[in-house]
Amino acid sequence: MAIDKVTLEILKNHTRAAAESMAFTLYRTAHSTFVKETEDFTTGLTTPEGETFATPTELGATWFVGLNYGRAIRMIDEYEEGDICMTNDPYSGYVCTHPPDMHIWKPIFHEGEIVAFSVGHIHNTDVGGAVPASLSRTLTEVHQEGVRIPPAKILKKGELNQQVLDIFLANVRAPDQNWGDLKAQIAACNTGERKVKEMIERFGIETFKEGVGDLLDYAEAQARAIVRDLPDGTYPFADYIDEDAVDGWPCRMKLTLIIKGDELVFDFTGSDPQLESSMNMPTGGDERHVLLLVGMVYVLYSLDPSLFLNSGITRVCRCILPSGTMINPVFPAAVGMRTLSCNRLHGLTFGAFAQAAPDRLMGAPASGGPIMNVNTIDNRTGRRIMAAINPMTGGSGGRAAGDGTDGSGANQGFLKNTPVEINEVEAGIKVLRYGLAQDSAGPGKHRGGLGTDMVFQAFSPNTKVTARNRDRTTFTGWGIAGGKAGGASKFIKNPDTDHEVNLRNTDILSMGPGDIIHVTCGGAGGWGDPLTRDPQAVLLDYRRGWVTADHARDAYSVVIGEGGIDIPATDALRAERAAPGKDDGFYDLGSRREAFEAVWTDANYDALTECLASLPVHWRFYAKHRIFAAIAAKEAPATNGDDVRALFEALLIEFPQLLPTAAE
Amino acid sequence: MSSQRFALALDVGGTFTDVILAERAGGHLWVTKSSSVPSDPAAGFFGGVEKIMRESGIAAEDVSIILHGSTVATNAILEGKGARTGLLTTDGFRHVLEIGRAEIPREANLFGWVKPKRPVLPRNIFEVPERVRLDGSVVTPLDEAALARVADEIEARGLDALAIVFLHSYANPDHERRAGAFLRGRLAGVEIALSVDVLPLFREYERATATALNASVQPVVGRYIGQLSKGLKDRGLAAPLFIMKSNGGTCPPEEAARGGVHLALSGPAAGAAGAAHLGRLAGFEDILTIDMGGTSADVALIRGGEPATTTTGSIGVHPLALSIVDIHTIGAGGGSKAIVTDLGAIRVGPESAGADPGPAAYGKGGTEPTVTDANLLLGKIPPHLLDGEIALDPEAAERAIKTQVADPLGIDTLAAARGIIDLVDNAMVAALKVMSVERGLDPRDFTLSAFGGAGPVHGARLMRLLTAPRLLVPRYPGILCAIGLLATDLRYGFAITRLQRAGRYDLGGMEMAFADLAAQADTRLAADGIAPEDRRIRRAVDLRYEKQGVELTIPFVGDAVTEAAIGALVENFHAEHERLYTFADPAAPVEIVNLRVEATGLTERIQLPEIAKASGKPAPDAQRLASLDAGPPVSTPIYRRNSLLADHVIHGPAIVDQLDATTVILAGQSALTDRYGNLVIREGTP
Repeated sequence: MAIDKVTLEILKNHTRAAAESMAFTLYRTAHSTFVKETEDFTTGLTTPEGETFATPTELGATWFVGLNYGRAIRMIDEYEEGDICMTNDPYSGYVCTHPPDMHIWKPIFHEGEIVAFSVGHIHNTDVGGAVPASLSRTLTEVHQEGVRIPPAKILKKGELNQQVLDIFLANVRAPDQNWGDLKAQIAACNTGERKVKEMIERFGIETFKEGVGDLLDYAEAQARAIVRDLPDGTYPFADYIDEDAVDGWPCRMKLTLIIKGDELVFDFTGSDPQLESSMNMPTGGDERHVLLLVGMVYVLYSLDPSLFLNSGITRVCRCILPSGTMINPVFPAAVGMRTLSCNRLHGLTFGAFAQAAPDRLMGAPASGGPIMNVNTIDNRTGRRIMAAINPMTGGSGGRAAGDGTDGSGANQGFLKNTPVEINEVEAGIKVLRYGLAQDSAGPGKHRGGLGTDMVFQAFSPNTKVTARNRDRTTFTGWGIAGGKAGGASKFIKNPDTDHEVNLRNTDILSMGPGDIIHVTCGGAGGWGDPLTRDPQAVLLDYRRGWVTADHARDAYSVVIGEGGIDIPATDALRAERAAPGKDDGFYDLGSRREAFEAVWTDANYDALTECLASLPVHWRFYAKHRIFAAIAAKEAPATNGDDVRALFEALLIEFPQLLPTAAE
Repeated sequence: MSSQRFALALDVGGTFTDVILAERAGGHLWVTKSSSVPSDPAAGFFGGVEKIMRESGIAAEDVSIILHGSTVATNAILEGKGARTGLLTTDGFRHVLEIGRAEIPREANLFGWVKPKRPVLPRNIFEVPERVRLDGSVVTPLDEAALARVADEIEARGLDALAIVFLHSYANPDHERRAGAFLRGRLAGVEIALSVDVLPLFREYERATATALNASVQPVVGRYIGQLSKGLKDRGLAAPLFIMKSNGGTCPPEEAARGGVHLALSGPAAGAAGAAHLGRLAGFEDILTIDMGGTSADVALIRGGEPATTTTGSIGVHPLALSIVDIHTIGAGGGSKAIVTDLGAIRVGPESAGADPGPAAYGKGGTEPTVTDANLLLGKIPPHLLDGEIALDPEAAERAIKTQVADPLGIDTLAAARGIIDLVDNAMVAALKVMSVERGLDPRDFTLSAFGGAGPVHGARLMRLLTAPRLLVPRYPGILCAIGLLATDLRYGFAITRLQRAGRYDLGGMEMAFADLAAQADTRLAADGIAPEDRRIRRAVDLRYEKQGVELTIPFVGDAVTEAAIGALVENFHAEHERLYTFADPAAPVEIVNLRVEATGLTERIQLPEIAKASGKPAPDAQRLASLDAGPPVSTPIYRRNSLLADHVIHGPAIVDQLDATTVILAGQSALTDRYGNLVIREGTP
């Protein structure tokens, strides 16, 4: 017999409060700046099988709704009361998705039986490896990305497993911080255990178990109801990361969304082959891996804000994940910077769904701003300091209901910035400016949100800055329904001097004393034709310092003079530019992407995908680069895929060792 | 010569103004309610004043103190109706307020979230070149020519108020003070607030928000305070006026006019102060309070007889980093609606039917079932309000619950009503746990106090669910905020950021900073006319483990900053950390972050009147069919609150009705009336 609805609702609130209370424990006890100021952590409760049924709604990263611990849980042979397990190995159990994320889980027993797990992760500021903070696009194998702990018991019957801890801490740059954070995680898991036991005492074990199942079913039913309301159809969309490796070629992520009844299929065929850089997403081929479905969860949540967030939601979707590609890489592909691919995928998911619900979804989220760490020497004390400084965030896309939000929003919205007054104390830098990036918003009837903008100065020689997730220097955030693409991001050393350097998508650099960095996040995409934007709204943005007069004229055809809007000039300009019957299509992809896709048409990319898929995994990235270079050298390459196929054939001839495999 | 025996307290809420006139030595108490006038709060205030003076017949000159809890600042902030305010900040940082902490509330949809409006519009934010370092040294001198241009611009735009917030100003306030002096000279009629006066602590966004909120309410609060001062004088009420602040203490009108943001949570703070006062009288020092009204419930914590405070609270959508009474508010009240979704799930609140149209039973057009409707259907509350002044419509309540909850869920109507109560009770228990368990406290060590119009109906269940040892239902649950006003002292908080790295504590520097804060506190209390022997100065320090993002405030014991005193402070920090978060890390470096001084000016406490002692058993006034817990409705004795005398004991199941509240006593529980008329409910017999 199903439990009654009132009890279920009460249980639901108890499970949420339990996860909340775990998050609260973790947040308040964590040691590292990164955890405390950016809340890059999760807590939750799972079924004995590893399905998450409760996550906090007030604290922590909001990406991992529906994370499945099952495969990692099953990698431990036997559980006893008081055990706590952990792993940060992206290739063991596929719960951890890059080495800085230490996931831990604790079995919760009732009369000798496991009835739930309390789980969670913290993004450690550093887990060792080739670079400080452990993350860089330059890395090519997971071995370079830090120490990896395969699923192991860190606590055995409540006793600390000192050996595992020592091995972990011996391999990291700031062991005190990792140990502090791990203790916070353990405290959080213990809180979760206590809360589950209280619930069982209160509701009885049978009600608890059935209720948990009902909660998952309930979220699934909600998700199905939302999907059923969307028009059936096939909705393809693609987006790009600027570079597939340092100074590499563009990297395509392709999603073909199929909506049929109350089911979804995400077909990722056409996404780039496994990368020889660290932006691969380790999903282990799990067709419901949460990394692939975060965007979907948020789309459904946007369409129905009452959606109860748990693993049940992921049951409505199935992914098609070709092996040896960036969304399903094989060991030992590097994965540290999967955050960037994930960010792009969230936006891509919204973009695909926007075709099915253009009046309820929004333009591309702001993107491309880095998460930065500074490693320097404090001149007053001689002490080396390493600290996370502001993540450069940006706003959300324009939507039918209004402009996107400025400076914060969308998929980076869970990142909290660090106050300038704390940055200057803890990171030994001087912040010269922290604000919103002028003219970065994608124009539209409702414009996208602005990105943030920061200028800072170093004071010691050999100050190392890591800037993860740099992107959107080339390809910008698309607009929808007539709205335009957002502005590109910026990363410039010593701007407006004779030794200015455009760092583009660099993610690790050195600064000397006096050097200045200017960094911005790209802007979000707009919604609706910018020529229909209320000129007063453009003027207001001008007065706020968010839009220049030049941009007002170029993007909105609004002429701003001394005393405000020059109405006759504006009317004339708008009339001149409003070409009748002109249809620019549903998306505005930005000029650079349009230029790129004039060469790399769908037909060309499809041909490439097909050719590469026939190669052994370790050849694919190389072959892609050879074909891209050859196409770039061609005067007018064919757009129908013929040149791509011809170049591939030439490669096979050049490398006969490929032929036996290719023929299979 | 008059005897000046009376204290007048007015708590002005959104709908009603609660007024008490009390004989200071504990004699008679007059209590009345008048209508508030949201469009003209001073008119509402004086409506209350005139009503009580008329009803009591006491002469104006016999009133010796006037205490006031006000929602003027609260409403201006919550409704965004503060003055047209500008913000002046350090060159390069004009968007700090707009970006905030880049955070999005976690329960919001990251992609679809709409950012709430900041207290200053982005276009009214100005920058001037200036810069001081963390150590207080000047990097860039204040650019006075730029300041002059800003003055022109503010004048041209006709702004009414200005906040000045410079980076690191807590380390060296000179630039802020000079900019303030310069602009005050140039801009007559523009209210100016400096961040070093409002909140001289690091974290620029939180400091800017507090300062901007202060500037934006300064003109509104100033005007209001002016009206009060004049109006009281016109009515012959020459007694000093004190205004309730969010920190649980009061201040004189001129301070309130300057620091309007300190009044933001005046109402809930007064409620907590009232509960603390009653608790002290009843002999309970550790109390969890729940104030349940029509739309929401406020939970607060009282430890050692004092309301607990926080520095990470909020007012509406704005963070409020001032030291304020720690209040946790949830959307659970008598008017909270029960909603069954298309998929067959039920929830209660946060949507509320409010007072208008109100619950279905009010018969004012509300058709959706609410908590009040469920209570009525279960017989917990009488079929009328205000002693029969307003009749309730049980049939409408039943219809709403049947058609919108019972039928969709396929259960009977009483079960649906019980379900609604279960849900709202559980939501309140969760809130009570946030204020206790999550703060490392065990609810079994606390007395629960339930008040507000709807609190006493639910209190007995909440006590049981929380396993609290007892429930205190005040004699006047509907006017506890006004009672709280009678029991407050003057209170001010002073604080400054003085970051001290572990192992390099600057004892001399801290001593000086403490001395400076204490001198400010002393000057303030002296100006209020508080005699030296009535001044209480308490020191506290915010500490954290190195690189932790949140500080803990630990009392500083002793008079001098010595090695030993700091050692004890750090020990206490470890212990508090252990208590709150299950571990301490004695090997980790501990940083001293902020120094705090809390100044209290003791004022005379107003005694509450005692009631007559009982000589027999209380007699029920009537019987009503009621289902107080599980099980069908049974005939349940109803007592009149007015007829209960000290030492009367009532055994549950029973109901106690009074003018503006109903108290439920469950089977197995008993209620003892104490000498102040409070009900103390326990499991078993007293």
